[in-house]
This record gives sequence, structure tokens and C-alpha cells, in this order.
Amino acid sequence: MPNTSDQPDDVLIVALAERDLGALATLYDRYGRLAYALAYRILGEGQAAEDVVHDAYISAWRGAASYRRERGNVRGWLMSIVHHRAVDVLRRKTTFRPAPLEAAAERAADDDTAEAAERNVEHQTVRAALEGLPQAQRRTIELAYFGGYTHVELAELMGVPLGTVKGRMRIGLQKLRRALEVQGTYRERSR
Amino acid sequence: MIHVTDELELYSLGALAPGDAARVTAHLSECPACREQARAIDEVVQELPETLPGREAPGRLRDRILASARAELATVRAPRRDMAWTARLLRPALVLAAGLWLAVGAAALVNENLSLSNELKVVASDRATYESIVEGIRQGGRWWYMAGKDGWTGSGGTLIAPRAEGRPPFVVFHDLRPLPRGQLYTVWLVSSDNTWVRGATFRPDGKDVQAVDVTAAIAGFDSCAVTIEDSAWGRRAGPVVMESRIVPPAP
Ligand SMILES: [Zn+2]
Repeated sequence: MPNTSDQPDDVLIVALAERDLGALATLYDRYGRLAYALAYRILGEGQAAEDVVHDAYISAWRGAASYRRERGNVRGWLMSIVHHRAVDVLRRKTTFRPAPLEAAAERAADDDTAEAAERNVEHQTVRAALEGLPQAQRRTIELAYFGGYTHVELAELMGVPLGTVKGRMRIGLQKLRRALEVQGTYRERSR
Repeated sequence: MIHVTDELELYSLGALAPGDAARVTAHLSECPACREQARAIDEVVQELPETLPGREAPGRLRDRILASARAELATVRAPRRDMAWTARLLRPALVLAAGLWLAVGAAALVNENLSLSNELKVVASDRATYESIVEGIRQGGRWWYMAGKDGWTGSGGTLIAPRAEGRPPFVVFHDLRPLPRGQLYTVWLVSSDNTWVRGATFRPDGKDVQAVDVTAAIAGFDSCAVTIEDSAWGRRAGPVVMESRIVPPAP
């Protein structure tokens, strides 16, 4: 493959399984920034985030042959590897995570830079959809996904029964899905 | 079959305890109905990173990823000749164990030999690595087992020096501890006059079993060790975390 930069993800993933370094580089150029943002949000620290993204890409490099299109797109697959690893690192390094809500708010504030303002329109619509959720649902989803909390920890943290945690996630994600479907953005995101 | 519909949001968001997550994974592998629902939930969850402010990764990260991938390409280059032989071995793990016994035949190393064959079964999922290891062992040669010590008890590695020309020696490590960033495992070849020569420098890859090529020739050395170093060059400075404890068998 002489030039991978214009190839769709589905082609790149096949090339990746065939150990094509160009395909790896293109997938990094395409989603490395998103992967880093995710790892950084979970771990709150650049060095650890960098390690996680490195490990996730190498894991994708090794495991590309196991990728199945019918289980989701390449971007989603990469993000789930990054997420899994980052949460794993977080759980191993912290047995006690203080003041998650404050920490999250602090981080969000420090991210409101000029660069952040350049987010594309699609990006803002997903964020808008999340922000449009009732606060309890949004927090439950964010603390689970970005905070690495298990539902048992969340129930304790938020002082609600397990069933409530589960219910908030379910309803929140359903609303999010409908919002995204209305916007018609998310099926087309992956290249 | 007990469906896992009720846990799919928790699963997708990563909010299940590891044991429960493993149970859901196992169920999804055999239940198309739950799998379809999980996929629909995953689609939404995988959008969540898009809600984050953009954050530029350090420029070195791209180089680092590509360097690791390139290094791995070099390590796992698989011998393509004699595929039929290795393909036969790939199927029954028991035949592999028997093959190991014949090839290595080092009766003094009973325990290590058994553990090595078990480790190789673990690597079997990575076919290219596996083939190159089996090929190396098939050609006979010498080998040393390095046992972890102090904080590294439970870790270990087998240095295998194939007899055949052209196949470099390599180490199959098991249960390597993760290292803080900036630190490296270093394999040393040690001669009888206590000269230490660097054989390999690498980072643990997080897998249960990891194969590492040794760049120095084995001839003239009679033991080996692993230290933790801050640098990929220079003399040994860090602590010994593994060392060979048995005089290697004669070739
Ligand atoms: Zn089911």
C-alpha cells in the first residue's frame, strides 16, 4: 500500500493485520488525538495517558486480525481498547480516588482553551447531547466511563441503590442515542 | 442460558467488576441476541470521547508507537520454511510438549522444562512468535532458566540459544512485572571471569509471556541475568532481578 492516508478505516485495518506500518501511522494520525484526550481525561496525567495510548495502539497492531466489522467501527474499537486500558491503569494505581466531581470540574475548566474552541460541529453536537441530559444521568455516565467507577462504587458515592445507578445509565444512554440519531451524525463518523 | 441484557449498559461503560465483565464477555461470545443489543449500546458509548475537549498528544508519541511496532516486526519474523512441520505442532499442545522434550532433552531441568512448555502454549495465540520459538527449539541448542528474585519472585525467563546458524538466541519471559516509564529490562550474558555483556534491552509488553531476541552471541558465556536499567547503553548499574541458577547443560 503506497499511500494509506486516503484509505478508509476498513482498508487500513486489513493492512494493519498484514503488519503495514503505514496503516498504523494513518490510524494514529486519524484517531491518536481522540485516544489521547480520552486517556488523559481518565488518568488526569500526560505521562500515563501517553503510555496507555502507546499500549493501546500496539495492542491494536497485534490484534488487528481479531477486529470484526459487525461489532462496530474501527474508531469505536480503538476507543474501547484505550478506555479499557486506561481504566485498568487507573484502578491499579488508585484504591482511593478522592473528590471525583471536583476533580472533573477542575479538569474541564482547564481545558477551555482556544484549541478546545476549535472543536468541530459534530463534536459539539455529541457534547450538547450529553449536556442535555438530566444532571444525575449525565454524572452517572461520566463517572462510570471517565471516572472508572464500578456501579457498586457509584451507588455508594451517589448514595443511591444499585438499581438506580443502572436505571440512570440505561435511560441516559437511550436519550443520548435518540439525540444522536436525530442529529444523524454518529453512524457516519468513522471513515 | 441466562441472558445479560440487564448488565449491558454497565458492561459497555466499564462499570462492572472484572469477574462480572468476564462473564458478560463469555455470554456475548455465544448469544447473538445479547450481542446485537450490546453493539447498539456500544455505538453510543463509543461517542463519549467526542464530548471531550481536544488535546494534542506529545509529538514523540507517534514515533514511539511506530518504533515499538517496528521492533516487534523484527522480533517476531517467522520462519516460513518447513511450515508443515510447525503446523502439525500447532494443533495438539501435547505434541508440542513431547517435541520440546525431544528437542531440548535436558533432564536436569525438569521443572523449568515443563513450565517452558506451558508458557509456549500461552504464546500459541501469537502464531508468528510461536512459530519462531518452536523453530528455535526444534533446532536444539543450549538454554538457561533465569528465576526472578526479591520483588520479582514468580517472574522468570528462559534464554534459548538454538544450534542452527542464522537464528539468534532469544529469551521467553513469563510474568514480567510492569516497569515505571524510563526503566528498561536488560538481559546480560555473564562470562566466568564476571564480564557482563548486554544481550537485550526491552520494555515489558504486558502479556503473560514475552519473547525477546538477544543480539549478542552466546558463545563464551556461562550464565545470564536480568537487571533494571535507566539506559539502553553503558555498563550495568541497576539491580539484578533475575539470574540463571543452574550451570547450563553442555551443548
Ligand atoms: Zn443472551
